[in-house]
Amino acid sequence: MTEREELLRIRDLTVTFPGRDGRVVILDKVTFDVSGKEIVGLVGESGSGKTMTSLTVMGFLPPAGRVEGGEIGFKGSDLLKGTEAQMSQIRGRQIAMIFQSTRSALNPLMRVGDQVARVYRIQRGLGAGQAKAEAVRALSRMGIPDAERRARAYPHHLSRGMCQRVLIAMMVACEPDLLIADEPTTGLDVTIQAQIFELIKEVQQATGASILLITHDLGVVAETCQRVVVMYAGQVMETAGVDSLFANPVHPYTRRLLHSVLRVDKKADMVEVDAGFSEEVTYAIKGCRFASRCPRVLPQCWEDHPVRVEVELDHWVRCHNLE
Amino acid sequence: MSAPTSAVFSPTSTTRTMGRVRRFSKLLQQNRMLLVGLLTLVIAIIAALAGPHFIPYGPLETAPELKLEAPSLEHPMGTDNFGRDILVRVLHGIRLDLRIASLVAITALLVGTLVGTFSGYRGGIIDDVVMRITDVMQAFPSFVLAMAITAMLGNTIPNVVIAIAISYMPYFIRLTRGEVLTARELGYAEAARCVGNPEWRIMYLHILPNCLTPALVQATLCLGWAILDASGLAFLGLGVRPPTPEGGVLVGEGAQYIISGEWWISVFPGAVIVLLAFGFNLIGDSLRDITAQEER
Amino acid sequence: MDTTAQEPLLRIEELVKTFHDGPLTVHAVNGVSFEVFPGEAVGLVGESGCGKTTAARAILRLTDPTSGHVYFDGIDLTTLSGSQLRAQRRHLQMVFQDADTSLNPRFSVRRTLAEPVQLHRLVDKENLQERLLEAMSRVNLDPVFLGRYPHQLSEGQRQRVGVARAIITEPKFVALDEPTSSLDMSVRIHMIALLQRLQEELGMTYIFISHDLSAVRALCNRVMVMYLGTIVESGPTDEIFDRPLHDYTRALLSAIPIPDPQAKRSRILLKGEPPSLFALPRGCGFHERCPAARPDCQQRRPELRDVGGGHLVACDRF
Repeated sequence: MTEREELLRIRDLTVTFPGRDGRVVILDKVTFDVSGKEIVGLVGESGSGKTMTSLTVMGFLPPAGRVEGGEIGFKGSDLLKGTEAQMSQIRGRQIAMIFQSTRSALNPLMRVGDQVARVYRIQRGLGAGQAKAEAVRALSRMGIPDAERRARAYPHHLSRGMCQRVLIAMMVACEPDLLIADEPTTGLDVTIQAQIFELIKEVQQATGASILLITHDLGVVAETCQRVVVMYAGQVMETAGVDSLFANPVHPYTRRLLHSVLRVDKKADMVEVDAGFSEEVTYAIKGCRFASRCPRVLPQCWEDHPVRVEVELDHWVRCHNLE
Repeated sequence: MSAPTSAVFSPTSTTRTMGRVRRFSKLLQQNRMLLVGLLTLVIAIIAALAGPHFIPYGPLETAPELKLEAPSLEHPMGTDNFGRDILVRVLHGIRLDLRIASLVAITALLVGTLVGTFSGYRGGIIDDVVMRITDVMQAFPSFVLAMAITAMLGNTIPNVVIAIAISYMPYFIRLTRGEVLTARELGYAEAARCVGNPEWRIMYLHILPNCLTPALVQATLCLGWAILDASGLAFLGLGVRPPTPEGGVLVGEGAQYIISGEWWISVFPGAVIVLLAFGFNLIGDSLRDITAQEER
Repeated sequence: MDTTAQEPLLRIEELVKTFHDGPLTVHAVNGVSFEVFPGEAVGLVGESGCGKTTAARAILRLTDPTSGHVYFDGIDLTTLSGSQLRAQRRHLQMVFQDADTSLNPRFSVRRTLAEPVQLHRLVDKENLQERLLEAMSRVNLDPVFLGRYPHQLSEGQRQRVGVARAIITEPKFVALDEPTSSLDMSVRIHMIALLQRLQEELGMTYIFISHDLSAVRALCNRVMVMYLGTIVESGPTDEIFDRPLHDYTRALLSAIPIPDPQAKRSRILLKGEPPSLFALPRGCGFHERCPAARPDCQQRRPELRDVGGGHLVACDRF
């Protein structure tokens, strides 16, 4: 293990939900870290459990969900063992989150400037006038032109890209140590998306916070993140530094993902895919959940969940069939 | 290799039917209103269909020596002023009322949904005109409207059915139109056009089937209202007339005897009318709740 | 591809579409002209509000163009009556973006697929089943799905039913509206492989509307870039992607994240956001955000000019 200061330390996190025939394991022994001052990408397709993981960290697990095991270490203490009161101290102030659906995350009846100002008043204890001024400054820093006038607008007057900047401003106002961004640019145009990611990177540099970036876009991961966590069907398959992951993907799922990525900067050939691809996701009750689609599956894969193995420096994989 | 539990399985037709039966009984368990309503109706229908076979008297059979007898073992609901057995008349009345109510509901449903779909899909002037006409129709209480139409058309049972159906049509038109307004913006309407469907097919084969649910729920409620309306009109002498046994007719026949103490002539038919309407209302209301929940 | 000797299958002439929202007017498509030759796969790209979807729908006359002409196989679609247009639809099909809502929830897959065949009376009853099975196998769907309903299918399966429906009448022209945009990574790559294979096997002519540029690069041999309702650049795929000339195209391409940490990037960040479609800027629609804007750019809207090799650009610099 390298000498990195650990900010978030998730170990064997297991979460279940009620299903038709008993409880369904939605997160299965999820394990990864986020260190100080780094951007970690949490990658997976829909149903991989990436959003559920972040909700659990924030303590926003829906009532039907139950944490059945594991720990979420944040700055040394286990968030799962804390009380709701302690959690609400941490939430917002030390860990902040922005979601996909930007417009519904903002109060439609309140001007955006007031919403940002409110964060300054509550989290930083500023007075009303000071908070308002600070809010305008924050909006301007986020690249919103004519910030003074825009602060008086309501969310539905602003484009989605602008709304996302407002949310980032609110998040930054908290000065958190950890920012969780769940697909912050879904639905945004590519050019706006590029602007938003530049902004996120600037914010990270300026505040020294760490970011857990949830995304399904491998391009975003390659450009923005330093480390990557790959999830599938509620299990973490591989974690590595970004260079290491792209240069040397080990897990069959990661390899399949990287193979399926198309690039704009290279001439495209005919795409080859595995025949017999089935979309129906079958969960093995025990064992590795990729077993039903894995080209390298062994009988063992249906029985035991593979153990984390460090295949190179800081590059961890869960697979029985490492070549 | 242990077999994984699959999230998908292929059902056979037997398992599908068993599944449906199980779901239906679960539905009944969770919706007591529906259960009670259905039971009430089923009992009423069975009684109405089978009952008269077990009763030795006909509905029009007079027996002057037995007139105005109170309820007893031979005549559980008593006799009226012609000595006719009220129970058998009530049971026949249920048959007639249910027939009228069904005809009314089906007519209003058919015409109302067809017009509503056309109006909602086309929009523009046609829609405006249809909406103004329904506004005018809805300005009158439906009973009054039915009375007026019966008076215009002539005092026969078919005309009463038409009159009541017309008075209900605005509801169906509006309900269906509302659903169609949403549905026509959906992808499948456009896809249907893209594939080469003519307008009438898009309206009636693609969109209407997806918009029927609120109209069907309304139709069950209309069954209940229709019984009340038909009985009310019959009580006033419009539509069904004595000696034909029908709820409202029977209540009318007994109206003058309430004061003199022969309460059973009106009260039993009246109670049955209420029971039928109540049963349909329970079904309609619980269907509305169920379908509203599913949409969520 | 030798297009010189052929007649275009589709010729669009000055297509304009405006919407009226009360007192406001939305200028969705502002004078679009282009040709598509048989066998071509043309990509129509741009960001939200550029008018690509509206243009496609106007071309198929799913909405009526405000002005302009659409010549399909020599016939002007804008002048056809209802039944004449319906007859043409056999050869003008579309795969819709959202497979969830574009399939009638009450229709089984069989009914959805059989309908176009029956409407255009393409086969008789005995051969219908064969036609259905053929379409299903072309999109890699097991025939058992014919009896299923949309809510019983996964996202990718629904999308494939949409594709099957579009090709079952053996149309001469198919428009695909964002067929990959709502799909997960693995499903998306299978859809792209499927579309590549269909293109080879069936030789149909396509327009592929998308903001997913890497998919466009894999599927199209020609690309047209739209901004604010007009085409700003068009040309052969590799030409546009490797040597983009219009500043918007360059910014657009540079904005796309590349899934390779080692790749070289030079990101061109545009200022601000696209102007509103209610009030188009004077002159060149892009001048407010263009890094190379000159005072002249406000005066006139530049025409599409050929700079060689079929590469057209709408910018006064060229």
